[in-house]
Amino acid sequence: MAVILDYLWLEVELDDDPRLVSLLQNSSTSSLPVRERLRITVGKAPDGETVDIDGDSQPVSGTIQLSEIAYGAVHDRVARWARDEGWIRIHAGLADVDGRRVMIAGPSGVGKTTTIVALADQGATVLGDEAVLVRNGQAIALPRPLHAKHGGRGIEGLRPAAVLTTLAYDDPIAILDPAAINRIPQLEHRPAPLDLIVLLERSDGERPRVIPASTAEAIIALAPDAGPFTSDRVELVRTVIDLVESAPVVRLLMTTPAETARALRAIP
Amino acid sequence: MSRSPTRVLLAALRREPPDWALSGLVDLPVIELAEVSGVLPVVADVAVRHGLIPDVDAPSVLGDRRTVLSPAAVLLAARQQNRARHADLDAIRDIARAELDKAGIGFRHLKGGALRSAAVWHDFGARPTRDVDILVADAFEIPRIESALLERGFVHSDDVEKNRAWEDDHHDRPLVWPGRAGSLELHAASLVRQHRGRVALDIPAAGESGDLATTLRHIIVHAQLQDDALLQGRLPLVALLDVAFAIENGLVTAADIPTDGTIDLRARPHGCTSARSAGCGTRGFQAVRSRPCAGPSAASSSAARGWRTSFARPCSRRGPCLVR
Repeated sequence: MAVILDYLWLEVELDDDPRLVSLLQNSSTSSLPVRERLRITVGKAPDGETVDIDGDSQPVSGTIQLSEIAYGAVHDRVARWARDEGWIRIHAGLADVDGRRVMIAGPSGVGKTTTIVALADQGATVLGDEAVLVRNGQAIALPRPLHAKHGGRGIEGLRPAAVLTTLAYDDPIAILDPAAINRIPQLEHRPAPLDLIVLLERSDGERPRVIPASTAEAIIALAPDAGPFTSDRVELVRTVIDLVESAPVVRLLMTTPAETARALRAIP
Repeated sequence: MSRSPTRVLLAALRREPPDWALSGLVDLPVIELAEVSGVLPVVADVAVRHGLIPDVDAPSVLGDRRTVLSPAAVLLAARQQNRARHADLDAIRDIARAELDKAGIGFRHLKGGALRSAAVWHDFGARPTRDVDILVADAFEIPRIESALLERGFVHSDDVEKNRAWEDDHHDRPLVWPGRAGSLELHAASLVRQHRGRVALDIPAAGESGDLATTLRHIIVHAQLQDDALLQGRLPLVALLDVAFAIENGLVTAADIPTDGTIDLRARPHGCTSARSAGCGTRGFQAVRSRPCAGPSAASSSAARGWRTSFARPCSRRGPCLVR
């Protein structure tokens, strides 16, 4: 029996392989029109397994490789549709926090997902932790399951039921079901104006600190990882500038996830 | 410790000592990353501001580059080399400008040179800058200027770009001045042929920088082409810093930077960079694989070194030559 998942402009159809479902399950719907259907299946081969992406079959060895191929196929197609529709991608998370749409950016591994999980524990609705699509000041998240690189430290407040699976990298990645994190059965993704942009940074301080960010800081923090790669970079840079001028941007120097989440919510 | 160039850059932008600096400049990987990202002089500038390395310009302090091992020494070397290079580039720029002025030829500085007097950078000496790029109004005149520069001691560079994806048809072989860092590139057009229509650059009446917003667009497009050729998937950070500082200093807004939709590609023919230059109102330019000979020295030198000349010459018909 097939499983159908809504990835913005993409409808992803999976066969009932539990690993595939656990990797891609996003418990989401979106307000955007479906433009393409993508079928992903896992098959048997004489010397192992194959993954089949819309009829293109390739050998696969292990869950990590399966995840990379599956995510690659989904991301690639969503990014293409986003580009065609005039959206750019920012490497960041997105959450609706106390009625405000907040984008949370920062270098990979800084603690975006753990902060986002802590925000959900405090009542926020987490929309994504990896990619935010922006256009004309509006933002929507790539509705992927959350990926938590916690360095073996564990994730504060995380319920075991939220963990769909774990990818056994050297630094393991926990794949988290947004529905379980948010305690709602299904998220609905729709574009909305951004109210706040937060640049997360590690800190050795005892308390989280919030510091207004300059426009230049915000541009340099967001533009290098913005995409897609194939787009006209003038438009991309202009969109990033428009973005950082359309919403307040702050640096948030983190401590524990719960304290950081509280500090974020207290930002006026 | 994050190895993100973003983090290094943010620290540099904040004019704060980044945490690696507070820990005694022991994190070479971050410094290496800054070097790979082409922003080591920017980071070094931060280190100077916070007294982590001395503010000295004397190259003798540097000693033998091969013995440089400590992060502080790497930063010091990067800063001194960059500032020394700026001094050399200034000298090269002055000579080129003098020859262009003497010949009465309009020109416009491109990229870093165009930002030099625009107060985009708080300290322009901290900007990583490699070469002097000058867009010459009349491509016919470039050989004459080159000849004059060769007589003044410049020589053609042997350091020719090897990347075929970035193979050039918009400037001739770079000129270098022995003993000075950097090179001089006299451009017949602002970009390689197939992208030429993406930036419309005028030669300003004063002969120098031109409007900042278009300069920034040129910087981004040029960086994108370089980025695409190298398959890096990200714009060079120096180009982003140029834009970020210009925005932060209130010199331009995002809306000022022309997009493809706001550039009238038919406003002037490709390769015709100046409304003032001779013939630009009546004839267009098209890219070809030869150019007028500058005289024995330039021509024989180019041929002997195997330099493939790809230049612009006037086309015969009237009206724009929209060569793509």
